Amino acid sequence: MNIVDQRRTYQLNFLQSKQEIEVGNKDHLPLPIDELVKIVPILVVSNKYFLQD
Amino acid sequence: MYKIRVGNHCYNLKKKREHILVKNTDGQTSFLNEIQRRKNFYEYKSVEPEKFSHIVHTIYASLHQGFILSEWIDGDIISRFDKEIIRDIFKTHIEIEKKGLFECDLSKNNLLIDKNKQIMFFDFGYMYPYNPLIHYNSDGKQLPIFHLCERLESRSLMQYLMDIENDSSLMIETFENTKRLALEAYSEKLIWLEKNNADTDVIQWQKNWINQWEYSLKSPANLLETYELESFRSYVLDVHDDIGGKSCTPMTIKKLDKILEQIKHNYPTLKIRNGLFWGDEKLNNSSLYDKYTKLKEQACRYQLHET
Ligand SMILES: Nc1ncnc2c1ncn2[C@@H]1O[C@H](COP(=O)(O)OP(=O)(O)O)[C@@H](O)[C@H]1O
Ligand SMILES: [Mg+2]
Repeated sequence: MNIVDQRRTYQLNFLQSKQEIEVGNKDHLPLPIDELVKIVPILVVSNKYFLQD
Repeated sequence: MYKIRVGNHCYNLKKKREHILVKNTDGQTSFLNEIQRRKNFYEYKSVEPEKFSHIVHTIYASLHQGFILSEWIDGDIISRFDKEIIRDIFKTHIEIEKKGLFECDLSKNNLLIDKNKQIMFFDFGYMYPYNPLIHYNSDGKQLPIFHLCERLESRSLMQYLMDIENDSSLMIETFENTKRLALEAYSEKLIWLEKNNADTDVIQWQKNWINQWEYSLKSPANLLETYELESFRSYVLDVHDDIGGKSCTPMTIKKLDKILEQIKHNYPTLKIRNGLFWGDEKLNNSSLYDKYTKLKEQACRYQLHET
């Protein structure tokens, strides 16, 4: 297998395995994680969504 | 993509898409890929912050939660490729390559210039691992055409140069700067490759680019010839992408016109300087012209219409 197929297989297996990857420190979040997960678009400004405070 | 303000500090929240835009394996795994790269950079930045200062800081990211929270980059889309900017793009990506990662998508949308006029990188969905001592790029050894300077040119710089072609002095100056700075960056990487006993193929491949740009900087005529050669390569790669993805625009047609013009007037140079690839090198002048005429007809059929 060439390295491209190897990578794709590895990535698909990784997703299947349901392993978690975390980067950084949860304690440094400016908002509780539940709030961040709940954020949804409220106002569309040229393809970007803004949520203030 | 969200901008979040807490107090007077701003953050960028990137969420995993419910519906993947690019419907292939690389598209489907691009969020995972990005989280993996964020993890890499989080480490590299903590050990050698100065080498990775142009990489956005990740505050927290989680694959299961499906989000990445980063510092907000207060900046603008790139509007000029100044010397300092090009230098930092190359410098940063040579460091990234030495770590064993190759960026495929240096498109304009993935480059921001912050308030201190610093280039910032923040999208790593298509940055892949490879071994820089034995591979050319993240495709291994199959596609030697892809490399850092080429990726910048094909994904953004050649388009920018085409947009400013009426200002020919700025255009030539920018191209010349690019070659000078690429030469500098690639020469530095060559020393690193040699010191780390890279494969002879990889060293030779690296030297080829260096030789090409040393030649291009010898005279204005050489520079122009190199521009024609390398812009031709980037247009061809772009056009294949657009037609393959059935996502052609008037720009695709403009690039095809430039390709046809080059084939008509510059075939011998394209041939001698190995400017033809992926089977095109086997075609004679008129078959090559026919091939791209047909592709142009196809591109006209695949025009994306504004909705
Ligand atoms: N940290 C950031 N600060 C400010 N703007 C950002 C940040 N990250 C992304 N953006 C903006 O959002 C856009 C899309 O982000 P990107 O990471 O490239 O997502 P995609 O995977 O959809 O291409 C970018 O073009 C940029 O303008
Ligand atoms: Mg992007």
